[in-house]
Amino acid sequence: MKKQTKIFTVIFIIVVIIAAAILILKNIDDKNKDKIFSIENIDDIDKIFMVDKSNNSVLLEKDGSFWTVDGRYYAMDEQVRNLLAIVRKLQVREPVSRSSYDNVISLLATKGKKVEFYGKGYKIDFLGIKLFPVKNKLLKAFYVGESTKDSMGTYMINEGSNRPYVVYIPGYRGYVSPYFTTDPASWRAHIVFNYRIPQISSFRYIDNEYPKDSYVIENPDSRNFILKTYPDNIQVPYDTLRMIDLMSSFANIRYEYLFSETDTALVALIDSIKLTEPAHVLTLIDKYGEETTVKTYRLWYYNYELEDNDYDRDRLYAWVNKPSRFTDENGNVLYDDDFVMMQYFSFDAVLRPLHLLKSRN
Amino acid sequence: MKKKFSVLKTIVAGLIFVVAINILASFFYTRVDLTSEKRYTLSQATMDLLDEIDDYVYVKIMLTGKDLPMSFQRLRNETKEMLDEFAAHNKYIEYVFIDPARVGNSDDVMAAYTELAEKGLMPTDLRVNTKTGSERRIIFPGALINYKDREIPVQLLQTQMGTPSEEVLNNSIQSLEYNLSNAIRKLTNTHKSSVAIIEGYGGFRRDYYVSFEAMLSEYYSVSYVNIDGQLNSLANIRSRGEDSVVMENKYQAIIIPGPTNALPEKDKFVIDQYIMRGGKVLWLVEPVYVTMDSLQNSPVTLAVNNYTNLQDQLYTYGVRLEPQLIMDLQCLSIPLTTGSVGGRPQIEFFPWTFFPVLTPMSTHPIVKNLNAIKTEFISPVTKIDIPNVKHTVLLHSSQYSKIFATPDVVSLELLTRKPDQALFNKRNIPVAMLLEGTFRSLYDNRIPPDLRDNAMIDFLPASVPTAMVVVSDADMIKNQFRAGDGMPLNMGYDQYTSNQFGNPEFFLNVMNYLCDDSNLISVRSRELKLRILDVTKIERSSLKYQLINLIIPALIIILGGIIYSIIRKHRYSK
Repeated sequence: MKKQTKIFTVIFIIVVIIAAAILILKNIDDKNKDKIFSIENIDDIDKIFMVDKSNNSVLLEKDGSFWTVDGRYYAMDEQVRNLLAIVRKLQVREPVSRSSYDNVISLLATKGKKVEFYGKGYKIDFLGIKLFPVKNKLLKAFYVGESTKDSMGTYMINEGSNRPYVVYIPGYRGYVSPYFTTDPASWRAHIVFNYRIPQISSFRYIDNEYPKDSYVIENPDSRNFILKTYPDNIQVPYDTLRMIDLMSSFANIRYEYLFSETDTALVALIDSIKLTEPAHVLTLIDKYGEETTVKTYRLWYYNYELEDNDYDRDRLYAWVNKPSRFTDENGNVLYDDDFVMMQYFSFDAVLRPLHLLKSRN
Repeated sequence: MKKKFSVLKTIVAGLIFVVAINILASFFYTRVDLTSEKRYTLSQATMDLLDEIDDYVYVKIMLTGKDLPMSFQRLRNETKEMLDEFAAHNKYIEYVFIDPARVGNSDDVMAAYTELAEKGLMPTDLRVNTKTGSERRIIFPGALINYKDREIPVQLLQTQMGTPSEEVLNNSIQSLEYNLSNAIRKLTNTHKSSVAIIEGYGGFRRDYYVSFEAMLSEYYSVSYVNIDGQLNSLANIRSRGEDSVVMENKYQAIIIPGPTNALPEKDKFVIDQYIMRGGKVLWLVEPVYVTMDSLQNSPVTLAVNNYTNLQDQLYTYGVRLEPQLIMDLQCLSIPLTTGSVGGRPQIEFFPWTFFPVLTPMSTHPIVKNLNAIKTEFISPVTKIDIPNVKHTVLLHSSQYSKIFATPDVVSLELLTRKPDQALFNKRNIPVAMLLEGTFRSLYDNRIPPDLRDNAMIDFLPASVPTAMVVVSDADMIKNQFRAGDGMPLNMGYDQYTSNQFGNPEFFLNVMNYLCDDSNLISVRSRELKLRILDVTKIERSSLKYQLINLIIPALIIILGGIIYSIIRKHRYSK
């Protein structure tokens, strides 16, 4: 090889390497500079992990068409979809100013939540060329901080970066940090009953305030029901329309709020409430013999107008014990045991006393 | 075969090398400005401004998206180049192009559009050609600039009524540096000059200039001042020994917004001495009193002299406000109920010649490239030659104007008749004038010697070099109120015709100029030559130029090939 050719070859290789390096770095740095926290293809995401500085964490995983929380509960699909929609829309409003840099960094370090998104990715994803798909790839990881002073932006920083940004959603008034909650209770589906009529074997309603209104309904064939008094077991004729209305109400009964076990003050309150006699005890047995039990408790308070104790007419406590559709390592169905806040507005549909179901003839 | 492979290898290597060099070159920003007007070189004012920036300035440009028309692409590219220039000068300048139409579904897009509009960016409706035909597209030819938790909008497209689109685009490109640097200045400006609005002489209520005050507040610390004969209302008085004082102006500029009552001599004296000490004044004085309010209830109203007691003072400084009205064929249309159909009023628009629309023609930086300005009942401003005072006409009527003498009746009946163009034979009647220089005091030789020489008053018979702007229409700063809820609208916005006029920019430039922000205004006075292709010439001889462009390069190559082969033949035949 001639000396001239050697020199040319060396120059050629150096230029190509530098150009490629710059192109790659520039591409990483500049590609969608305003969207460094957003994920365009949210359908590729199948796992989200969030953890805060107090070590509260939540793991959301896609299980077919459902999302699960910590591999143990069904997630509220709507809320996960909201989170994903938000992640797709996140845009950089501005870099954090140098004057507030230290403050924001320390806030992120003390109050930030780390969020990781995993899903379908590619080993090679460069300039729109995507090759060699891989599963469970870390798509994005960043820290979510508090809101800005104007409450219209949220501080965020990419993992491994030293540059925080104010992130917002165009057209959205507010900040997004509450969407990245690490409380598993906030992610769980609020289902109490989710049964169609054919899936119900029997339903028992015990009214401790008016024991004569207690009853049992048996469902042999989804068309003809057997209504019996409880505990006497005397069959009584029923009003068909009201019966069907009651039995179809089990399709979608949800609670309003789940009391988190992390709140120690609430745990003490729950324990004290559980010691009192429930107002109602509802027991639904499905076709597989699995039992859902709901015990309701009134929310008592002192009414100064009546000068007596009274209970809240909007809300009630409930202890829900229901099969979760998740099994342990031995294949046994796991039961959820939750203390929740319910609203009469939705729960009244299944709090039907006997005298309402009886036939008026 | 081996030789062929070697040639191929060389070609491929050469191609890779060229591509690599191009990639390298694209990331190292440098350019040499060879244009005659130095269009790619930042002005000194901008460079000084950029030198002072010590924190991130983040510019989000909305001018992006697929299928942008060529003209907007040019504006986008020019914006990018301008920001590259800024960024090359200061590393804290960062920018990004955002397509607001790509934030999500149609509801999200609409929410984003609404947010941008609320932030002050004006949308533009476009017809863009797509593969399937053409579609309507809303774009926001503007940018949002963030600095230290603050954000302000910048309109990149400077719409100008009645101006050809190429010229509008060129003016927009011409104004890029000013608009961007002005916005950055607004954001980074921590010290605000003080400006006072002088009240107490009638005129319209404060809520009529809410928008004007809001606009001023972005730049200046605005106060309302009632002079009330107090010497210290416009000046700080510091004692200098036991029997003398030094007076310093409190405000960099004062605004006198349309007095309808006569100013007391004491107040005039305070204003006069404020000017003598170098204070700047924006006079919005109407020599004729007439309002549209009277015409709401009656078809006629009377236009009478508005006695403000300022005529002598303004005359001394170098202008006379004529007690007449200007009628102009280039005017605003006003809505009028012409009847009713099915109980619903029928509203039609008629040109109202008493509301001239002024197109700034001067190249003075205050009015250069400004949009048209809406006025109501304006009067002529006549120049009075005064030594050491320079006059500059900022605004004048169109070439189809007419003088309406007062006192006289102004009647809506005029709307029913087509104006006779022959009568509108006056042209370019001045209505706003800039006066610069050293002014003589109105009270020079008019106050007793003992008062004149009293060191406790610190009387000045002549001014230091200063400036003032006299405008014969106070309505120019008024805002309208939204018909539905009575909310004040933007100054210069006419809700009946849905036109945004250039009033805010005009007064902002006036105040910038008066408050010695002329270094920034100097950026506006840059001239970029509009090099538009001659359409008629293109139509006449487009084929000729196409052939020249196609054939000549090919001929040059062929000729080169022939010469090369001749040389080779000559060399090797030996």
